[in-house]
Amino acid sequence: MIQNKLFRFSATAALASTAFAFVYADNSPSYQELQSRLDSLENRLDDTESNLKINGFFSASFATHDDDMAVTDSWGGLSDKNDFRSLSNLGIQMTYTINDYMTMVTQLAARGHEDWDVEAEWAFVAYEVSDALTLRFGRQKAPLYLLSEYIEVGYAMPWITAPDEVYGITGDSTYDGIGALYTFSIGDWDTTLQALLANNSFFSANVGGTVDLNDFVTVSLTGEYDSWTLRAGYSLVSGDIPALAGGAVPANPETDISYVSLGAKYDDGEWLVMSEMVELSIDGAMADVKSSYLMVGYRFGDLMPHFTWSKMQNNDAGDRDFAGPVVGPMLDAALVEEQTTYTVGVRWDLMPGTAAKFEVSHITDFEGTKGQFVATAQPSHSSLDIIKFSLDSVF
Amino acid sequence: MKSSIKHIAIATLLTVSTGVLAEISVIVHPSNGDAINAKIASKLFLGKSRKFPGGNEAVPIEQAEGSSSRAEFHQSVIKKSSAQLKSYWSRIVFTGKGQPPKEVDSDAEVIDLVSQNPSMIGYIDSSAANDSVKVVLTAP
Repeated sequence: MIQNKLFRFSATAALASTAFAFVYADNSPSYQELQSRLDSLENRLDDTESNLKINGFFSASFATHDDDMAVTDSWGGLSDKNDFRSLSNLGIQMTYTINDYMTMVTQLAARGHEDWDVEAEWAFVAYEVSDALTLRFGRQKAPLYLLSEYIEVGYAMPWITAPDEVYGITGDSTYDGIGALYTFSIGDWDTTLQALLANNSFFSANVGGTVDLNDFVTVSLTGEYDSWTLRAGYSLVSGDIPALAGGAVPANPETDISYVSLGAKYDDGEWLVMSEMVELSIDGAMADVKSSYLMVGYRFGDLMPHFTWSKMQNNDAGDRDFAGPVVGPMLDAALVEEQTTYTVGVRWDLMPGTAAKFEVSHITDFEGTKGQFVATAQPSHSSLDIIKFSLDSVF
Repeated sequence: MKSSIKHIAIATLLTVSTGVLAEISVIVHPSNGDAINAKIASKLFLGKSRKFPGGNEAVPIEQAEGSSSRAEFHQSVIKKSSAQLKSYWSRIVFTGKGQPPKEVDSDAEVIDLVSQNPSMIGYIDSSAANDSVKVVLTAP
C-alpha cells in the first residue's frame, strides 16, 4: 500500500513536471487537457491499487522446556534458554489480479528457526478455466492434511504448533509444479478436489541431509457441510534419501514413499473438534509411521480452552526391507520414531485478526526411540515438557 | 492491553445492543428477480458461489469492520462471529484461494452501489432501506 502511494506520488510528480515543460512549448495543450490526462492517470493508478492486495501474518512466540539441553525436532527444536525465536514467523502476501481469469500470488515467509531467511512459500499464477476449475502453475503447498496449506499462519489454527506427530513427519510442504482445484456440490456438501504434480527438495534435520522428492503426486478430497469438514488424501512420491544413521545405511535413491490421510473437523461456533490419521509407508530402512491426533476445544466467548492427544507409532517393526551392515536394535534406536504428546492450551481472540495463545505440552512414550527428535539432540529424560506463548495476527 | 480490553468490552456491548435493536435487510438491484435465502446469501458472502441462482454474476459488498450492520449480518445470516469469519478468510487468503468481498463504510454507500449495479448484493440496517434497492431477505 505504501509502495503504491509512493508510486502514485512519483507518477503524479512526473506528469506534473511534464505538464510544466509543456507550458513552455509552442504547441502546449490546454490546462483542461492536462487535467484530463492527470485524471486518467490517477484512475489507472486506482485500478492498479485495487488489482493488488497485500496481506500479512505474524506469530511472535516464546517457548521454554524442562530439559537441561537444547532439543531439535522436525519443527526446528528449541534452545536450552528462554526461546523467543524458534516458533516465531512472519509472512507477507501479494495477490495481483492480472485479468478476469488470471491471478498471481506470491507469499514470502521468514521463520525464526531458519534465522529469518526469507523464502517464497507460494509463488504461482492461477488460471481460472471455469467457475469450478482452477489451474495453478508454480510454487504451492501440498494439501497433505487439513491444515497443511496454512500451517505457517498461526492465527488460522487453534494451536501455536500443530501436532508434530502428524504435521512433522512430512517435512517441508512447499512444492514446485502444477496444481488443480475443482469445486462441485454433492447434495448439500461443498466439495473440493485438489491435485498436485510437483517436486521438492529440502533439508531435513531428522534425516540429517537434503531430501529430494521427485514426481510427487497428491490428490485430496475435502467436503464441507454446515459445521462439518471431512477430507481424505493420498500422495505418492519418489524420494532420494541421503545416507542415514551416521552412514550405517547408505544413500537410498528413488525410494517409494506414500501417505494416506483422513481428517474430520466439527466447528459449530462453540465446540471445535478435530481429528486426523495418517499412514506413511516408506521403502527401505526407514520406519513406516502411523500417526493420529484428537483435539477438543470449547469456546467461552473469546476464550477457547482445548486439549489435544497425538500419537506416532512405528508400523513395520521387525519387518523393514533392509539388509545393511547394521541391523536390529541399534538401527531401530536411530530410525524408529515413537512418541505421544498431550497438549493443554487456551486461545484468546483479542480482536478480529489477533489472538493470544498459551500451551503446555507433555511429550512422552518414546519406547526407547529418539521420538520426533534428532538423535544427537533428543530429550535426556523419558519425557519433555514445553510451555509456549504466542501472539498471532493476520492483516 | 488495557485499551484492547476496553475495545472488546465496547464491541461486546455493541453486539449485544444491536442484537436487540437492529433488523438487517439484504438488498439487490430492483431489476434482480432472484429469490435469496440465508443459505444463498451465506454462500455468496463467503465466496463459495459467485453467481445468483438465476445464473447472473453476483458481487457481494461487505461493510467495514466495526459497523453495527456487519456484526448483526454475520451473526444472524452467516452465523459466524467476527473472529471466526476472520479465521475463515485467513485460511482462504493465505492459501491463494480468494479474497474477501470489497468493503464500504456505511449503509448509504451500500445502497448507492447496489442501486447502480444489477450484479451487486449488500446488506443494510432495515431502517435505511429505500425504493432504489430491493429487499430480498430480512433477519433476524
